[in-house]
Amino acid sequence: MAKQQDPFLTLRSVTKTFIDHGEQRVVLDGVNLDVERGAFVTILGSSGSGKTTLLHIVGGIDTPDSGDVLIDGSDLTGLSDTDRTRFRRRHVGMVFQLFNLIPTLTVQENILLPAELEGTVDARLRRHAEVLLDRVGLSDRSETYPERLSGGEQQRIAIVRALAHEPLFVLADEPTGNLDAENSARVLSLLLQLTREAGRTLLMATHDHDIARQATLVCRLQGGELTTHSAAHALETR
Amino acid sequence: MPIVLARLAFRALQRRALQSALFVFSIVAGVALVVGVDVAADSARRAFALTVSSLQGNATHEIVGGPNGVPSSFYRTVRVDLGVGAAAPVVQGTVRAGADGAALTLLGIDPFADLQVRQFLGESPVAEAPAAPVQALLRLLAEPNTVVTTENVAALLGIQPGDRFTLATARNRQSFTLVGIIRPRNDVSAQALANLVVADIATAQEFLGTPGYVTRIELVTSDEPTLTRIRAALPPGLALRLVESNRESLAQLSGSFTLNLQALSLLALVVGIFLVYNIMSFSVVQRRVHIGMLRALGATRRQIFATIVLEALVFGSAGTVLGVAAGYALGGGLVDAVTRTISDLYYRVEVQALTLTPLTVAKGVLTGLMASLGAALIPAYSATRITPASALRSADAERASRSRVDLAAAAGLVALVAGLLLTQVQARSLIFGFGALFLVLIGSILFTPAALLIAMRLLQPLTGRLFGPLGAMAPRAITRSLSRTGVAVAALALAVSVIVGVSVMITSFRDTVTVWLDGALTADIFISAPSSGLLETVNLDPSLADSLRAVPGVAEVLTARDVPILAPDYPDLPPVNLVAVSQDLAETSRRYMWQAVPRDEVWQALEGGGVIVTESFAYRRRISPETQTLTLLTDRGPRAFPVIGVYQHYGSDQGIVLMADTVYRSHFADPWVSSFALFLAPDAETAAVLAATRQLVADQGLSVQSTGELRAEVFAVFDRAFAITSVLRSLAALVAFIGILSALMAQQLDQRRMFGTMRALGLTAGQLWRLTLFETGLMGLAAGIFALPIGLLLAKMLIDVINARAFGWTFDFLVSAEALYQSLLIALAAALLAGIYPAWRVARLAPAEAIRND
Repeated sequence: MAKQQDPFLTLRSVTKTFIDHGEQRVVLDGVNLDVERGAFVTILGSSGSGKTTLLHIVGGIDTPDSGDVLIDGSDLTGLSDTDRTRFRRRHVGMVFQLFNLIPTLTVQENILLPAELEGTVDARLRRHAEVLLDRVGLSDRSETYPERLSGGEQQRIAIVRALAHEPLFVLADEPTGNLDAENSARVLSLLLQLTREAGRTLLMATHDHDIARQATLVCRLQGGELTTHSAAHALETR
Repeated sequence: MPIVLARLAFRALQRRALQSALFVFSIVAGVALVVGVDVAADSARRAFALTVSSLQGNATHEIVGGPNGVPSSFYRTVRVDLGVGAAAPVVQGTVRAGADGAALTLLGIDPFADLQVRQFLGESPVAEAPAAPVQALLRLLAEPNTVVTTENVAALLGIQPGDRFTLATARNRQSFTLVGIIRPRNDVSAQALANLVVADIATAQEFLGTPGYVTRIELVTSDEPTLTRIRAALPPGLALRLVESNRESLAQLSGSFTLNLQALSLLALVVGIFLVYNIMSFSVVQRRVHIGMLRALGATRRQIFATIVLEALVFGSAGTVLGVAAGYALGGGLVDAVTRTISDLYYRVEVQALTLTPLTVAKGVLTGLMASLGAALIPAYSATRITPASALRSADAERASRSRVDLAAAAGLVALVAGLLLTQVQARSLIFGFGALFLVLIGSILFTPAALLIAMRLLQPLTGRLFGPLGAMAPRAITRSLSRTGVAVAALALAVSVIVGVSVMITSFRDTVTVWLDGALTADIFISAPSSGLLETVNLDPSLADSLRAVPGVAEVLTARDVPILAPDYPDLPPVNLVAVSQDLAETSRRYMWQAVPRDEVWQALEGGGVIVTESFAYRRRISPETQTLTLLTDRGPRAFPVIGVYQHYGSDQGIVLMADTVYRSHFADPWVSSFALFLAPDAETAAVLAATRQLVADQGLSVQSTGELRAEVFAVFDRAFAITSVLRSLAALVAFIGILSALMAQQLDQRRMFGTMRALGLTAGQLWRLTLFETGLMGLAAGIFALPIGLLLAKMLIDVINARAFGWTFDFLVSAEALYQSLLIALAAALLAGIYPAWRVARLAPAEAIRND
């Protein structure tokens, strides 16, 4: 385990290139980033700027072409596909723009899925999940299938799923991008509140500068380069 | 339809190249089997018809008689007394030549009279005297034991004019000199006459053992007064008949067999149509959003409908063209199996060239296009129901498909009832029988999606308890994607039920034949001439029985005489196959459908002048306990014989009439027998007696078989007859495999994001692979379970309706445990094999790519 003063998350010279219709497109060009434990980081950038790719690399869903990804002292880039998968289900919580709940699992099964895959479901974890479900106001929907829920409800369930297995950090990819203003506010508030209470680090890709206002660190991705600012500075220069 | 829609459709299909290829393949497979079976059956039929018509030349009528034929003296009466110029006597028989005993047709003619009827001898140059063919024919008259033959036979035997070679019958062997080669004027005649050897009539009579008799007298006349004069002059035992109607009745011999093959090929086509429907449905489901957008942009329902139908027709046309070509090639592969079975069971036929008639091509084209169109109609209609609003909600599509499940089940019930009712209408019609079979099959299959829904709901708690949430996911995923899985499982169930149905029918038949043979083959050794089909009469010397009795170990020798006899009451049917026996071999074991006298008095009744007939014979001639006589043309004219029973027999689908030998001899002046059955003394060794018997008849070319050998030969013929159904079964299995593969590929495409999410949430590639295969396995298992009752129902109908109507015989419905697990195994194997590739692709899915939002 890393020392307390070391950054929780470190990206060193991370590059990622895609081949698009025969042409190389550099999405991440030597990206460096240090994130403290428990921080709330927003990544701003236009569509196609590489925000999602960055989150995927941090979450071990994708791998960089070069560079290092250190999470709590462990280098993700050296892990095999299976080890990265195990890392994800143990340590990463994810919230997607399109909710991505599994339609053939009930709400409760969706929430417990990462822990089920890891084989760590026990009474304590179940109680924890129930508490979280109650916190998002959907405790009466645990046996419901996702398609019977509204978009806002589905995203609240996705937040619970991201936190129920007590991950090290949460990645949120434009979590309010598919919701109306009222639901966006509610979902965002719950996500921030619950991650903060759990002491989890939160990385969120977003277009929304209002969300960035609440972040401890604001990153901007443009032309494959990542610049970091304090929240106040980011807002001044937007 | 605006060109832009056609362009859009084309691009959409380009993107789904695999599905497009599967569509084309399904039509190719269905059309190829329909065309292939037709080509094989037509080629055999045409070869036989050509041979018969080429041999009979211009003959319009023929005078025929009993087992001996027509007395030669009557030919003189026709020519001289009745003044009929265009008449020719013919002696015809099957002879064997060469080391492997190739069967040839020996035609004995009167060279001068024959030119009135047949042209091929007169017109063709004969090798040794190209300018004067008649000169070579004169040599047939002038020189004893001379023959002319075709280039084909000369090549087969490696002989040239001037060479001597040996021909054999069941009773003797003789050396002949080849004096000329027949070169028919065109290829068609050459093919038809390929196995012909021509001799002078006296030479042929002597060699075939029919002195004083000809096989028939052929006439070329349409003059009614002349025909009336001939009829009036006919002595008892002779009949005048139209050559054409005889040809037609002969062609009927194998009619049921080929019709059954054609119907089975249609069954494969139904499976193919279902697969096309499957593919078209997926295509529409996958393009919901696309179609919704087009609707939003102003495309009318009619335009959407036309786009989908056009797609089907374009691919259907490609499949049809390829299918007809593939069918012709398949026909070449099937023709050997078909002709072998026709030769085994009906008449000797050899196909030199494949026949692709315009009718077959038209049938293939129509079948392919109608199948494509028919399969596309429902998906095209569902496409028109997509609205811009509903297109974006996949749950709506699934809800709509779930409501269609009830509709399908209701339609299934209607089809099932209609099919079962149809079996009661036109109780003898084979076409109605097949119609009923198809309705019942389709009706049963329409229940499949509803049954799948229920089965998966019942299974879900169990799989959930056993394998956790992932275990519960599989049945839920199946019910959730019912628009794809329902059709795929139905297609698989249909294919497997066809395999099970046909297999159970064949097994039941085989088991029934086994029991029948156990009862029928009570003797120890059987002696007969090699089989040449139903139409050939083999003449064996009855005195051979005495020689056989003298073989050490032989306790008793029985004889049977097997001859075709005319039945005046059934002019449109082939001659009756009469078997006259010196003692009833199967007396104690025979199973009667009905009998007019007690079982232990049957033989007595036969010796008293009665006959018993097989059930196929009774069915074809509508003989019932109420119509208890059968009129046969004996040497003394037509005689009515009381039918004292109808019994089960599977030796010939044309059926036989069994008569006591003493009764037969009293009505027919026939000195010959056809076969011998030997009973051995209790202490005799079968092998030793077999060896001694073979030694005794070595120079006669007879077949000497133990009961076991004969039984093996019967089953070899049986298996060959059903060999062609293995093509059907293989094709059905392939279609099943493709059906499930295409469903899984479509499902995988739809669930890409879900699989990506699951990988992102921590499902390993291996877990995803196993989950996908588990889902596939469940679908296969469900299809196997559903296919079992449907397959058994199909088998029951094939036995009770189709076989009963086509061949007139009944047999027991016997279900083995093998059928039960075969159904499950095939379905499961097809599903799992088909699932390997999609599962592999799913497991290799890059989660980042699958869940990418932008």
